[in-house]
Amino acid sequence: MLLMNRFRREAQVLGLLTIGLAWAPLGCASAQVPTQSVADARASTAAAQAVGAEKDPQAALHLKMANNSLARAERLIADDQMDEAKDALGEAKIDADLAFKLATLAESKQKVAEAQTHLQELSKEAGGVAQ
Amino acid sequence: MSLIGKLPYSYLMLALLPVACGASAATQQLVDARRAYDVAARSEARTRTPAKLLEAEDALKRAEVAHQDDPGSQEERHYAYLAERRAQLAMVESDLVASQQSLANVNESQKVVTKQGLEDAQSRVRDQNGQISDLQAKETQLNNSKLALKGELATEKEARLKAEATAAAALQSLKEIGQIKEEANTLTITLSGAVLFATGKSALLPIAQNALNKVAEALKLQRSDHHIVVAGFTDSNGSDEANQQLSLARAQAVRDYIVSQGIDGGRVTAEGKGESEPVADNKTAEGRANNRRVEIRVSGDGKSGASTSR
Repeated sequence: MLLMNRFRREAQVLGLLTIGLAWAPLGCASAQVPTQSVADARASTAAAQAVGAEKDPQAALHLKMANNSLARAERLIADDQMDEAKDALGEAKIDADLAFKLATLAESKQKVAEAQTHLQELSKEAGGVAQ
Repeated sequence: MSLIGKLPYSYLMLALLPVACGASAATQQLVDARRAYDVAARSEARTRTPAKLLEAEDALKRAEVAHQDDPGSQEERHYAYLAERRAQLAMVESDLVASQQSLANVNESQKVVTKQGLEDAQSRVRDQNGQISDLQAKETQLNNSKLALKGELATEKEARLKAEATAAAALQSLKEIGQIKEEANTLTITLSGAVLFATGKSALLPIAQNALNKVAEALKLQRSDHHIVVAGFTDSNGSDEANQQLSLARAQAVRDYIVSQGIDGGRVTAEGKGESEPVADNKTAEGRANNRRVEIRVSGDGKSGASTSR
């Protein structure tokens, strides 16, 4: 069983979830693949990437952590360690959510800075009207 | 929010210390989670994102319970991890709320500044329009004044031409009674002594008054700042002294008369030239008659014509 699992881990590709699902009925009957957690974690990771989490250092760090946790979860699923996998997916999701918010915050701060610059220009044009 | 949420987590842990006595040391993950929660609980997140903070607190509680039950377990590590991240998330969301508020404030200020700028610009346009109206009114006024002046100038020119014509006509009329000589700056009217005086007398003949009236009228038409010299001359008969006195008396008689006819006395001086400066031969009767004369000189330089007269 362990050997088989190791073989399977080596054989896994991006379509792991499908494989996991395919194996689930064949594997331990008590261990259900946490499909919802996988979907949630992936959705959060994708969302973080979509808002440009890679561009902000802190957001990028947590996105990387999320991806690491996701990879770990996939390995655990492959190892039939569903409880541990679920925890790892939860951790992947929270890191992805944090990356998302950090990226959003960076963007917001950027907008504030731009708006303030624009405001200063306007104030100058208006002849030093007090802000 | 729970009572616990209002207190930094470390104080809570101090209170639980006796109960937890005997438990093994917390994992690094739990220590990090406690610290992260503590920081978040003291931050603005407490008021801005309390729900998120509560989620962190829940996770931390589960981690603590797990730590009590089974120190160093996967459950303790997992919930500590979640607690730390949720605490961080609470703070980031709190910062996001603040940042969005700042953006709203700056945008609001922009509106105010833009509105102010627009109002200023409108005000400037109104001012400029007012100035343009004022200038246009002034221009109209000036054009009217210009037209009026043109009219006045035309009238004045007409009047001047008329006056010049009148003056010329008056001078022409004098030719009937005497000689007129116009030089650069001097007008000389020469009246024959026979027309004005009886022989040897300095009183004006009644007929002389007609002639002098015309002279006075003509002089009035000349420029009022010109000086007038009335000079008397005799022929060579008689003594020089007597001739001098007679010529002066005659000049004064003429001067007094024209002044009485309205010529300003300050402008007119009388001079006696005697038999000096003859204009004709004293050997003939005709020449002597010509030498007996009164000259009225009008000069524009304001100086007395006497010193320069020949």
